[in-house]
Amino acid sequence: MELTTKEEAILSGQQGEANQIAMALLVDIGEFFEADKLIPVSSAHISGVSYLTGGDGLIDQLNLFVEKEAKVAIPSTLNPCGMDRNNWEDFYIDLEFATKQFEILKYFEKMDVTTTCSCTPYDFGHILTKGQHVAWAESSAVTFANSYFGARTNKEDSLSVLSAAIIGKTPNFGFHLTQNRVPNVNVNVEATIEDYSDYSILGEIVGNHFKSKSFEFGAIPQIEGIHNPRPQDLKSLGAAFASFGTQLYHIKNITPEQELLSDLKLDDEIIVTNEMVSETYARLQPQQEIDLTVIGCPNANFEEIREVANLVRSKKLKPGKEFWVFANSAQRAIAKSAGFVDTILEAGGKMISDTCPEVMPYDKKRFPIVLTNSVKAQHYIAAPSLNGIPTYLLPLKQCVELMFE
Amino acid sequence: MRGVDVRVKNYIGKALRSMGDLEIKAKAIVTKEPVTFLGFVDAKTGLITQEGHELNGKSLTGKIFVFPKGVGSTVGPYTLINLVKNSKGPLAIINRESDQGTVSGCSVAQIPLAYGFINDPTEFIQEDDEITIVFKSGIARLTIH
Repeated sequence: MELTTKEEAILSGQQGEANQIAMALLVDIGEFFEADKLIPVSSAHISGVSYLTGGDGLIDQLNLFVEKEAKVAIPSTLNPCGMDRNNWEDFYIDLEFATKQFEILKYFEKMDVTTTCSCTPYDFGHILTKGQHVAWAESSAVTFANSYFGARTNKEDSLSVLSAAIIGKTPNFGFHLTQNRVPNVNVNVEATIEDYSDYSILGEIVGNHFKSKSFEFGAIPQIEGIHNPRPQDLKSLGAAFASFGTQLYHIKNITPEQELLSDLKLDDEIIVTNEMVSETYARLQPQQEIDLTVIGCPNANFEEIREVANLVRSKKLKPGKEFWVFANSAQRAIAKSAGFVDTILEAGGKMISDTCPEVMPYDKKRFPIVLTNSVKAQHYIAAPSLNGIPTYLLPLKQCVELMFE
Repeated sequence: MRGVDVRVKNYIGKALRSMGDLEIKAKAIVTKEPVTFLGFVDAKTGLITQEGHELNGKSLTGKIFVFPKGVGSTVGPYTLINLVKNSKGPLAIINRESDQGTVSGCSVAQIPLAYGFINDPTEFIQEDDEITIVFKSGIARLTIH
């Protein structure tokens, strides 16, 4: 990889140790992926915020950067942390965890990172334009940035994105290059896809179908047969895709990079039928009674909060049940001003900000099984590496019917 | 008469630039399955803790860990850092394919990473093989003893 004189100077330590550490990592990654150069990025979205996933290694790394007075060079936002900052005790978080989590957030603040924590930064003003180069981590946000906005980012990891934020650059490879954004599989949707969960299920079916195939930058579906999706539907689809390694998809006549699509039949194709959708729902539906439902993976936007409010209005949570809605503090504030938050709270539901259904530790004795409306949450809450709790899926309306009376 | 060992013993791959020059000699631990670091290994003990995985219960500590590539969570690199912080990390990692998280984790945790071999290292290296890797100027020379 070619470095400019200025970049070489940073690498040799002439702009301080923090910049040197960050630059060394970017050079390692760039050379590994045979990037030709570093390119400027205009924003960063940083993952690796929850103490549940980062542990003490995360604290050490941030402490190291802060001691060396590292600051981010570009607007940078944060992924969910492990708890609601203002209300962690209500969700059975212990003091030790909370203390570590506050320490992590303090370090990010010192580095000038915006500490509104959410996996949907595009829902609180961090929006992008087609062709804009950025460095984002968090798989669902990366997929949304690439597919919905047509912006350009690789799936940065928690360390590379921090380095990119400090230097303001990232290695030029993968999805930064047009030739790697061309679709490599066809998805023909014959099924009726309408509900938010339907989009999640579509992602599950397609993801499973292509998961054993090897693509350098993941499967890039070219999708036909989807009509009038809302932004949250595409977020839902992308999050499910992302849990199978897809970080970019195109939909005919809908997503921004239509010029990359073709009428040529690609070698790999799947036709998604109504039967496949029903079978997948059947496989993921709960077999026993569940006490906890989590909504908001990725974090719910205003429209999703409104939908929950309309479904639970004039109802009451059944005894022994809990119903948690994860939304970032910005979308929650808008929903609050419209009265929807109060409706949910009055019915007995809870609202949670700053975190997400996956990176928050659960009291497993209290909640041995979980219900959700999102494929991504279904995958990751059950993952042994995270909470390892068996998790089932139903559309929102049915989740509400099981929890409220 | 002693039998002739026809296995090739020397291989050349690439190494991370930040790693400098060094020589590592250790036993190999090998899997052909991609690895999701988050939850794969207990950072306090170095023991692999993934039920159903072929390496479940074995230790990474002080070994050269050979696997195809890392997959999954973008916070996986912190698992490598946590391992090294607790002095339970592998001495080196050998990968077949590219994965950004493993590159980042190795670069920051200073675990020497060898990659870019023409042949598949998960095929030509066997479990418990004694291996030497010489890292020099971005090149990794690997010898199986």
